Amino acid sequence: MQSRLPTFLLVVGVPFTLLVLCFKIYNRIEPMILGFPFLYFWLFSCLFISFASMYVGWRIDPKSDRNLRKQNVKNNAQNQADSRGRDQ
Amino acid sequence: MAVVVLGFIIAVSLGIAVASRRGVVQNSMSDVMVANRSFGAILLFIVAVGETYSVGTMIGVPGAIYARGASWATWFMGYMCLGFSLGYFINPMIWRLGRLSGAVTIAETFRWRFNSRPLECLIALLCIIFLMPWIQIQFAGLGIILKYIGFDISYVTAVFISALIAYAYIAIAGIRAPAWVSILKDALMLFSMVIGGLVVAAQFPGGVEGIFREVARVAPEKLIIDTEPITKNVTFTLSTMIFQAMGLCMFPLTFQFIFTGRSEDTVRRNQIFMPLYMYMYPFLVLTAYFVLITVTGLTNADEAFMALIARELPPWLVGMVAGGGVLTCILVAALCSLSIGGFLTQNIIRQFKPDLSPMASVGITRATTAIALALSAFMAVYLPSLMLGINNFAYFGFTQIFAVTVAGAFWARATKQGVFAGLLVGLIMIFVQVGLDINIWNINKGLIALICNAAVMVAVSLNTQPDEETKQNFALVQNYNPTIKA
Repeated sequence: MQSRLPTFLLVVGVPFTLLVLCFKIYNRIEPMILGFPFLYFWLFSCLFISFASMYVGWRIDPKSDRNLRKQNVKNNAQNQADSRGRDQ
Repeated sequence: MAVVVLGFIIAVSLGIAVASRRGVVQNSMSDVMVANRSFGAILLFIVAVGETYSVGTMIGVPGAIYARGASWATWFMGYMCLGFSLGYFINPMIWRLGRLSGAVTIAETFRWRFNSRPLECLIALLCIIFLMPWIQIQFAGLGIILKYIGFDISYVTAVFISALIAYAYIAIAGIRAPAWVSILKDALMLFSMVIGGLVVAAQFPGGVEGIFREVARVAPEKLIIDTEPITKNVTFTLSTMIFQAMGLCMFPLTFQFIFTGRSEDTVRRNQIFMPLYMYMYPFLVLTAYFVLITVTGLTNADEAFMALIARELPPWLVGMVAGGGVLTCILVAALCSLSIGGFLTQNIIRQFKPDLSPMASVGITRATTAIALALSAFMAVYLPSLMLGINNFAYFGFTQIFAVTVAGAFWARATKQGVFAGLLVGLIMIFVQVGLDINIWNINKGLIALICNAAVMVAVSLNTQPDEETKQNFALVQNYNPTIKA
């Protein structure tokens, strides 16, 4: 089984780093971006960033349905090859 | 005018509830509680996020910003964002546990996983105790909304009428009715928040930046989190953010919705899009700060949003906004009381009468739903002082189930004795801390209780052995492959 660690880092690690570990960085008013104080700009950005990183995490997640199906196809092919090898 | 629009919206919602009867299976507990696990990705998404944004979002967030500034906004948005991420891993596992056990409530799921009836009872009781005040909050929110639309109706009458409507949804089509109605409610809520934000941005000289420049001039302390001393606001904000992120996945209503999903991957894909749905927060934050600088001396900060809406918008728009808010209150109250009804019937009454027929179960669930609604309506009217601080209190309780869930999904060595003892210690810690008003560096009390809970769970589990059935069921959970049909 492939590791789910990269998925975990993308899905949970990224928002956790941005929201909890970077607290000192984002707790400020200036510079204002798009009219919002920096703290709020940061919080709003986190929503989009965590969507994006979750999506990438899901694409590479070995447990997602599409990746499981791919794995099944591979396993089946492997099994067939094995049994053919035994028959001969 | 506002009242007419509001009445029309309520009438439409009842129409939707009746229409949602399509596909209902009569007298099936699974249908009433989880709609036979039939919801696809889009409906599941709407009901799940719809529940996440309760009336607390519309009333509570602007209120908290008005009263306390950035620290509340930060933990509020932060915990949702982090909670969705955690949910990516936790929610599909909850779905899987629900699927394998065939359960319709979360308490049943853990009875199956740990082969323990006392555990089932404890979890059901915990959920009931902490859900009641949640319904009460909804009614309080309702009171605030009605106060601002010039509707001449007493709070008592309003609460009881809404309790009746809430019951009507459930009686008409179980969980299906609130699910479909929440589409209407979400549309109205989003619309009103966006409108609120746009109106204030258009009105204030300098637009968005103008508003925040003004706040920075008159009340800069409301725009950042005070870091001196660090054990005051910073520890509170960050610990609450982390703690409630775990709590977001553990909300009894969330369980109920996860169970309605069609597959594990449906639930997972759902989580990915959740953060995007928070796009109304910029509008809400903007509105809150606008009220902060233009309206002074609101005695109840929670009235900030409605005060602005009532002052700035034409009556028919006020009616739409109020309609969204009122529907939200009623819906959440309906869903909470349905959950309570389910817990009482499936998990507590069944202990004494194990041979309940499906028809009797459905009947008792409806009856207990009605009782729960009536009781909390009564509490809301006659014991409003109990409301204070209940929002956090409910989370303290629910989140204790997080330890059980993680152990149930991922830890083979967890035993029933362990999770039961942990849960009990967690609950005791909450009541001790709240009762004696203990404060450790302002760290969230629930987080401290949860740490104790997990520590006790691990210690006791390692000193006991999981029984055969527990081991077997864990193996089932581990080996489940959704892409291979059994």
